[in-house]
Amino acid sequence: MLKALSVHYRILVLAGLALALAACAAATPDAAMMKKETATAADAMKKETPDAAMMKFPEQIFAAHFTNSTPKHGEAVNKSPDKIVINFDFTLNEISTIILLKDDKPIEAGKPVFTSNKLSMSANLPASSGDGVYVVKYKACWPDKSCHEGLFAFKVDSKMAK
Amino acid sequence: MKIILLLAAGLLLAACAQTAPTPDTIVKPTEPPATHFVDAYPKQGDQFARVPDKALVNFNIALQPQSSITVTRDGKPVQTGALTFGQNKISIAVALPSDAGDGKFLVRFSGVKSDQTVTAGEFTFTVDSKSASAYLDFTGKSDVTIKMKDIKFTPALIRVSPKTKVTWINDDPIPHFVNSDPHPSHNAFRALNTLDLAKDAAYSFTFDQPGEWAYHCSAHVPANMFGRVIVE
Repeated sequence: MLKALSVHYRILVLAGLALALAACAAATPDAAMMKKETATAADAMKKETPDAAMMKFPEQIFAAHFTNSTPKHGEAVNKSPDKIVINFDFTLNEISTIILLKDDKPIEAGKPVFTSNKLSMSANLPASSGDGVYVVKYKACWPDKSCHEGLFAFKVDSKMAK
Repeated sequence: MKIILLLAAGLLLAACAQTAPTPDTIVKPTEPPATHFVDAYPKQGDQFARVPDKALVNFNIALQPQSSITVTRDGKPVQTGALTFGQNKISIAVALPSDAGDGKFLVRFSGVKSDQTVTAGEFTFTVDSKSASAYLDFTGKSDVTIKMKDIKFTPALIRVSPKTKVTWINDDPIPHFVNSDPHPSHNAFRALNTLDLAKDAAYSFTFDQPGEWAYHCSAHVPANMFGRVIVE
């Protein structure tokens, strides 16, 4: 009798442990609350087919003091622009940079060109850049060399011209 | 056997309690910043002589209306104004009552992104009205000059009356800025912002609104080139 009770007791305790484990799993905060979103635009597009990638833009990241850009984020144009212009409302240090990606692959943009008041910087786009989703990553820097990072994207689709 | 099983259950529950943080423990002031967080006003650990006019948090990504800020002082809720969104919806702010009193303030924020994920955190600041005695008293004067010399604002802490014109002059051979806190967003008091000021350049601003205004030189934040103006 005692032995049977002991077995039942063990089963009860084991069941309790299983319940505690389940409760523990449920008690972890909402996965969304803990999600540290670090996926880059390139990461986001890796899982897409080329057609889907053509249709989808990464979310815009705003650097502090970003004012606007040409092309704008999310814009679709029928031919690749000669240059990309980014405007700010603070005096840029010339260590600021612009990096261009087309369909997830880097393309040569060279050193940014600054306006005389240093409120704007631009990057020339190679003439043969072609159709695709362009992601512009930039660093806007202060004289103390601290920088703010930003990102925007636009699409070139020559079919739009037809 | 019973004791071993009970001990195991106890240990399991204790471990569970330690590894399941509540949202409040996601980001503490001493931990790395929340994802997409840029800066906040007041900044973590700031001390004010007057209650700052707002609590403000800047992100680098657009936020959704479900975002929130709550403020407590010494553990008690502070009645704030409604949540407001800044330009491009990358900042959230609530107005703080000027009579919120002295004490330790805790600001908890939660920014909801377009994919409904949340970036949350908290920071603290203190208000000690007695510390106003450390500010140079220029109340009643219509013009006050602050020198930017040797990578410092001199005087750095001042008290003035409303309508006082404060002029900053750069006496250093290198450029300086006058920028509202927080760095680098500079949007707690947007009107108080300059481009770079070369040697001998001057910038004037007339303060109207009572309160305490925090500013800095953006080229020399690591050198602690900070200043404060109390308007009373």
